[in-house]
Amino acid sequence: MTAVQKHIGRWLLVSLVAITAISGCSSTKPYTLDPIKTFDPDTTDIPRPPENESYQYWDRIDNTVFHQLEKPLDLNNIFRTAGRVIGVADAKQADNVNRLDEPPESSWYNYRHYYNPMTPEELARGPNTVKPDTSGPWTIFSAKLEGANPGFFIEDARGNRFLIKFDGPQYPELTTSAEVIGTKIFYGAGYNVPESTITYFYPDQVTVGEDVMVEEKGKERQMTMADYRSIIANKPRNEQGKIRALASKFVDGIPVGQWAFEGTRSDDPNDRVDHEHRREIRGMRVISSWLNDTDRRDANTMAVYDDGGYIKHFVQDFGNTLGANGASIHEPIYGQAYLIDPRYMAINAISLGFNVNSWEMVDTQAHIAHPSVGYFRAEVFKPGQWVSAHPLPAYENMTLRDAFWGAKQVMSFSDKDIRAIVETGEITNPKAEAYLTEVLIKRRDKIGRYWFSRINPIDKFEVKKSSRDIVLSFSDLGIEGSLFKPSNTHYDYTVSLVDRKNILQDRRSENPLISVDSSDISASNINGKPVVLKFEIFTRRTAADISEKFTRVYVALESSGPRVVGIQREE
Amino acid sequence: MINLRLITLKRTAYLICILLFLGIIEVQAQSTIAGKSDTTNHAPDRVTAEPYSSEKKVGEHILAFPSYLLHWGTRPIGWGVKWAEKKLPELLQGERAPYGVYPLFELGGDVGVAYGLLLYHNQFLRYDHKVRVEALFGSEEYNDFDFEYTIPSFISNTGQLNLDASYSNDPVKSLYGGNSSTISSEQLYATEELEGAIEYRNAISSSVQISLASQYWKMDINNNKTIAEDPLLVIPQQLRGTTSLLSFGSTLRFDFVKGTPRTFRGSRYIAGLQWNRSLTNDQFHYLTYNLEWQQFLPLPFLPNSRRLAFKTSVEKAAPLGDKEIPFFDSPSLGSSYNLRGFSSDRFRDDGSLLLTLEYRYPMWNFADIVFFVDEGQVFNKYSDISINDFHTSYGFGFHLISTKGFSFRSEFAFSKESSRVILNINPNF
Repeated sequence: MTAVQKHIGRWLLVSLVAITAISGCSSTKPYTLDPIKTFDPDTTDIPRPPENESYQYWDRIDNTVFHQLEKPLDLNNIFRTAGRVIGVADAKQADNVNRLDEPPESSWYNYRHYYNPMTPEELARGPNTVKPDTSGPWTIFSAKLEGANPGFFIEDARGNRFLIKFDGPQYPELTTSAEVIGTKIFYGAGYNVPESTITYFYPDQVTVGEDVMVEEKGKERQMTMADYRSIIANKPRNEQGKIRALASKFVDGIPVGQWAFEGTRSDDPNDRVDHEHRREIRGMRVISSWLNDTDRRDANTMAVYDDGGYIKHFVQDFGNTLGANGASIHEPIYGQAYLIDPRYMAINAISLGFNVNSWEMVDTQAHIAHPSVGYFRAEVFKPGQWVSAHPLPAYENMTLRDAFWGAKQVMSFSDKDIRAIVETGEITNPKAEAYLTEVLIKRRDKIGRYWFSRINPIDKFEVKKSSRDIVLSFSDLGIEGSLFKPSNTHYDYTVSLVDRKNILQDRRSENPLISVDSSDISASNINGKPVVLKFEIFTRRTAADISEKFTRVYVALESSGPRVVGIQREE
Repeated sequence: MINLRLITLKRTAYLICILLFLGIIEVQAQSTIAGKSDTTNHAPDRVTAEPYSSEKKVGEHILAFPSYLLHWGTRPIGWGVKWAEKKLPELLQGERAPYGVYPLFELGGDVGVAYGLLLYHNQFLRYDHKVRVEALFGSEEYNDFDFEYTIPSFISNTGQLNLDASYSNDPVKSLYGGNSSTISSEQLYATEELEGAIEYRNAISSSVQISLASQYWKMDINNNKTIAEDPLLVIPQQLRGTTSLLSFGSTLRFDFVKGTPRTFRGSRYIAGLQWNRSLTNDQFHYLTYNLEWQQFLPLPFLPNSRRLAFKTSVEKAAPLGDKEIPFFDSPSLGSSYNLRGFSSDRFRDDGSLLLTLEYRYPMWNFADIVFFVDEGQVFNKYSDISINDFHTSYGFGFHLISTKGFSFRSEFAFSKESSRVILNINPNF
């Protein structure tokens, strides 16, 4: 044996000992006997941070180029990948999930439709509290003349302030309806979004405020009514001569810039979880995929210093969702590949042109049934392969558990809910509205079918104690969403006392309900701690190509009654 | 030597072991499915407790260190991009400002590095006149100044008047000779050029364009300090001297091509005729003419972005009466546009024939990959053209495509004699 081999051997021995020691010391339990954390206290008072400047380009370049190069240089990724291959490691999971595998409420996220079902009316109302007052004059107090989407900010007669955006001349109603519908869906899914509404106004009711400055060809000057008229010149009008616009209300609080899809904000002491490891941002990828929300990136977010003295995090700018790409329509490539995608570029280069990407053969115009819906399709949508236009670290980190979380948010919107939300887009052609609703329903179901086939889709666990039995009930989200038939589904389960013998082994239930005879549970409290039952459940479906994985549910038999204290999902 | 190698091996082994150790710890530490422990706060609703946080262990930081280096090393680029977005937004928006100044750099060649500035104004004097001034300084013997002024909608809506003036000097140019010249027959010369031109273009229809042009050209052929040290390489005395030329010409262009931004189908024909004579003496009086055919053809069964592009061109200079043609204005092959793998002006005679075939296919929506073959020969009379006398050049490249069409090409060309790297903002065809 050479000296080198001896050294390697010695180090490997030390490594193994250390690993064994660390493994032995590991005390993390998959359940808790404490209350489940449902709120992350990231709303404590902090001094108002300065506004971080918003940039349109750097996050795209950084995430597309440098972030991609950094990934293989982070050896944590290499070891984790190797560990996953040999089955000793798990994917890096989100940092802010509780024992029920849920993200807590926070300055980022609120429990809404999935957790506390909202009525279609509530979903249609979304975050809206007021509309712009169109009965009185509007005064422009700020404007943007140049760029892809010129627009302005107004104050109505009641003193409410709104950002006013328009549709592109070729696609009336497209962008404004997408903005409103996207906003409502994100709101229902639990995110903070600005109030958005469709409004119609007479061109003459608008005046330009004093000292409103605009930039033109690099020079700043005072805005004139001629500038206003040039902005609205080619905007579609209805029979009454009114112009249709999107009014996005200024949120309460003071904007302090944007938030990033990676890292934390250094001047916010409440911001402790790396954004790329937040469940609600990783899982947002599935919601984005549903809406083809391709332009999701740092620049389309907003951080606001709330009146409560903390930073609240908003998602905004939904003008690139559904069939809209700003004032125009989505191209077929959107959602299927990054705008600069080295994966496909390499294949294309090597194939000498004989590889034809699926989006290349699409005649876009042939698939635009309604200009007010743009290019939005269900049949080409692949939920597992969907990507935003630019890589986002949080989206890249999405695990199967994150995706399941996102998918259950999407599936929580019923057909009726979707219809109610689409109506708020005020698309005047009923056929176009019906088409959009249909595509959203089809895409929703594709998402459910895809992700619910890869993980055990049972959730909403409830446990009760009857006179004799402990009854665990749950929802099979695949059946709840009408994706799979109850007649083709059953549940195999084993129940045991944690770290002890099985009570019920290899049992089968036709319904999402498991009963345990409490007399089978001989042990009572041990050392003053309640007994914890472990239910290991497999969902089996015939005639469906699904991956059978377990979900473990931990139930503590406390003096006040049984309580679900932990959920583990196999990936 | 052996000991040194052993020490290096030991160090490598240590490093591997440390990384393995840290990696396995990392894997073990994070393989637990559940998250962090919950709290002991028993509040009944919206249970709050210790906030969640992301924590990285020391080992994780060590393993991530190479990525940190890249991350922080690239931040200055981010500062630059952010600065540019605020100060020069048009640069990033793809909307060039109506006027501006850009730095110019040229690397390579005999001078090594040349610096300069490009100034332009696309709304000159409150009109849509365009003015462009380019200045490049390499050395006392290598400079280039260009001035262009364009007046659109001149005489008619489809007309355009271009005024050009330029001055340049180049310390080293080569003259080889005709089709059978060898690389060792190279003779060197230096030039100093002054040029002024006026051109009027008009689109007769959507597919036919005509241009009329006149040019004044003063060319000084000399030897400079650099090449004078080796008199064997310098061109003979009779070819040196100053010549002033005046020319008038016309070009007809027929465009029957389809495709934007990629031309994928159709034909283009170009025919030009130019009359030239010297002003300083009676030595030069000649005609030059050229014919060019371009053909574009998409591959069957594939999207039309996979296409073949073919070009053939003939150029000929013909003396009038007993006059001559100046050697520097006779047709030549060997440049970034023809016989690309050969040295500049590698073959020169009274006529040239070029055949080019390119296969172009998309790597992405803004980039094409190109494989090409150039075949060419120069000749004195048409009867000299022979199938056996073609010179071959081949290569590949990348073309950047903007929404308006071609924007930049980077090509690598080879021949049996030499090779060439091409970076050019003008298309080959």
